[in-house]
Amino acid sequence: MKIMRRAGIEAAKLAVVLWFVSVFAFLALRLTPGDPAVLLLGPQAGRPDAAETLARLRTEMGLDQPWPVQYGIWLGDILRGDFGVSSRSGVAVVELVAGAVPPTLFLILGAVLIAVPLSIIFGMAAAYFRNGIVDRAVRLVTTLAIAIPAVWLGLFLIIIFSVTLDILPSGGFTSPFDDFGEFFIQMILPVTTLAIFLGGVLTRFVYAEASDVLRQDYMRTALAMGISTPRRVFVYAMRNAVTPMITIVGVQIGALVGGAVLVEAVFGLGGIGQLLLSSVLNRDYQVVQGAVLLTTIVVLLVGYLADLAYRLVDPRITE
Amino acid sequence: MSDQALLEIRDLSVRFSASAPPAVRGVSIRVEAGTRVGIIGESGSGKSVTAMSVLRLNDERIAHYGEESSITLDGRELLKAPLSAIQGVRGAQASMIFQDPMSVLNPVFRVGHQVRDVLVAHRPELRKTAKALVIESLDAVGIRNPAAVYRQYPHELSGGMRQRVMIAMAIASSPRLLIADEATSALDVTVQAAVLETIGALADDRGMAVLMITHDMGVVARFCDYVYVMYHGEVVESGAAADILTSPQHDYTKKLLASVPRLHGDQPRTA
Repeated sequence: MKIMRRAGIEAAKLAVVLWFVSVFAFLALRLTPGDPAVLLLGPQAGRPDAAETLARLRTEMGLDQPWPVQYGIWLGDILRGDFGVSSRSGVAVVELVAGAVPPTLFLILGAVLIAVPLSIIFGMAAAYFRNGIVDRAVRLVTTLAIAIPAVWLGLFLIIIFSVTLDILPSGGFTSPFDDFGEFFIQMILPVTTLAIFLGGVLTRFVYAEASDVLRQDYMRTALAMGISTPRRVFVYAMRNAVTPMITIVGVQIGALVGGAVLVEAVFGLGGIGQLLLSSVLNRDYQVVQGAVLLTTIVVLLVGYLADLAYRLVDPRITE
Repeated sequence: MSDQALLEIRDLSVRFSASAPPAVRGVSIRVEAGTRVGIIGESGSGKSVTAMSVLRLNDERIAHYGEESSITLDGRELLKAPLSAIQGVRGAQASMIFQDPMSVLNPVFRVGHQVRDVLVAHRPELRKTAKALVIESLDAVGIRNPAAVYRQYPHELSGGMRQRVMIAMAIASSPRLLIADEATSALDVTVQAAVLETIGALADDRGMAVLMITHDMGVVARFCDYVYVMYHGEVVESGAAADILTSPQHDYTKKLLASVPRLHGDQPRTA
């Protein structure tokens, strides 16, 4: 009963957030200069007799309607499960988004899989050897990792590994189901770029948590009871320091999608980020609105899953 | 008194920085096997630092022991031993329990597993039967329904229960010395009395000596055979608990005794 009620409240909150996002996605492009019809028509839009064609295009795209009507039609379609088609290519938005998911998904997944274990090891070690060499090195490296822009880092890696050393490709995406070797080699640089940023953020987080945990009374108890140092640091302290990380990773997924957009663009992976970028530049309203909404749903769901996972791992949180 | 006590602290000095005065100066304390010894003093008197020195729990990156200082347990020098060797002493030959039952147990592990960990750390050969032994010791420290408590988390237990779990942890591998640092101070008086009684009974059963660190004369009166009074990092007075309580010599001890609240107003507030 209580769980049903809670689920109901969460669903209502989700609906409100999605409604806000839908309004925002709808207005964001319309409030920026640029006419989709003009962009679609291309150079011809400059011709003196183009006015009629433009008007017809606008009517076809429903852009001659007032905004509230446009919004109402779009929302109604979405509620029926229809996200519309690209005004540029005529391909269904859902299809475009689905095609763009794998590169983004593998990029983020790869970055998380690399950054999480490394940040745990380095964060814990730095906190344990506080003010020692490991600590100083970790603090310096994480500061750099957080401060260096992903785009710059991506280009830097390309210059070193693709141009100068010529050992890794500078971009492209192959499905792992078609050719895993090629996929793996292509993903090394983009995943590294994103993992360095995420690793910097997470290491800082683990470091702060672990510094706090290591000072706790229960750590002194474990010391006084003769529990070995590795077990104290990597079992007793780690479980406490790392549990909140689940939430952080969940929250960071949104930021990661944002970071992934840039990294994708640098490496030409053709993921969600690139789809959004090109759609924004083309003023492809339907695609931008649909992609933003669908991405939001996924990010929110990941957040909820992280919350659920946290509840399972931390015994103190129970219903 | 035999020649060699179970625990012998000789001329202990502890300094936390070169500029500040030492936290503990020339403290000597003897604990005979199977006896109950108290150290009483206000906060900052150095009693906890002294107790922590026995198991080398002070942060030795900042704590420095005097050249002439020595602590022996069963004739074995602890202060000069490598920390790796001390690890086998902690929880095995001598255990220590602490104040604040809210925070002394790890919040994300079942309490049974925490006790089991200590047992297995010192007696790896007992791994297979450890669970049964842990449930036995939970029972021994007066926890009702120990099999159920084994599976519980610290936040599901009351303060008194948590303190009992920590005692179970401390006695898991039958140490000869238990150091209790204000172990009952955070508990309310009735629970405090019950926990003290449990510690006393366990000590008697197992011939385990107890070094009780406290600021509470009531605890000394109820529990200790012998007591050392510490003030400003030094032992200012020591003797049989009964003697100290009835005829204190040092001014500070008199003040400590006077600070004990009394139920009857006809007794003098100051000695």
